[in-house]
Amino acid sequence: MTWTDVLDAGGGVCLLLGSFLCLAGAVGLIRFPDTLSRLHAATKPQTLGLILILAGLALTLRTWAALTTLVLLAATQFFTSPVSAHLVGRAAYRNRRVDSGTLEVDELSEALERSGWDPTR
Amino acid sequence: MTIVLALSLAMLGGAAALVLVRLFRGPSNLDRIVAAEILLVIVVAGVAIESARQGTSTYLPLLMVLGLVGFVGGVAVTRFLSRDSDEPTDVRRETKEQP
Repeated sequence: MTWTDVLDAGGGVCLLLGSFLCLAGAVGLIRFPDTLSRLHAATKPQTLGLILILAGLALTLRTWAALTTLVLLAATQFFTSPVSAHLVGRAAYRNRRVDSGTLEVDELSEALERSGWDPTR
Repeated sequence: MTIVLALSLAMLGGAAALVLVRLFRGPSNLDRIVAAEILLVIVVAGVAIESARQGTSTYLPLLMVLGLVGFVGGVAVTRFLSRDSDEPTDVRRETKEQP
């Protein structure tokens, strides 16, 4: 058992876990009832799943060029996916796609009320 | 290693099928945007696994471009749809109530 075998095995485990996380996110996307909870399920493969798969790829390829590109890709994904999730959640709220009975805390509606936003418009 | 990669690809295929069902069913366009972003993530994962199978780093720029296109496309469509839903839009409702 050499170092290459260990790295290959670690890469395989990372690839399997990442694919499983993608599958779990897809099942959540099918089964959850409204847009916000589907968003919750959808952000798992977007961050952790993709990072696991890229780590598996880096462990399999084992070159510096591949490693830097993959780190750059993981960092962009890490910074951009919260932005798009935030935008979708905000749009869902403004389109009244949110079941307010499922929310524990709803600070956005108070803030919008203070700013004079009219929900019927 | 071949079995592991085949198993990962099979899981990704199942995930893509489920996401396509959500993309078809909706019910709102925001759900479709979320599903489309996840579909792109699954495509990125599939290309990464193919790259690991062949042992080449040729596909890495493709992964980078796919990630950025997914973000820009998702944000643009969400901004475009942020006041929109499957129901009639505000403008049409106002013109209907005017007479």
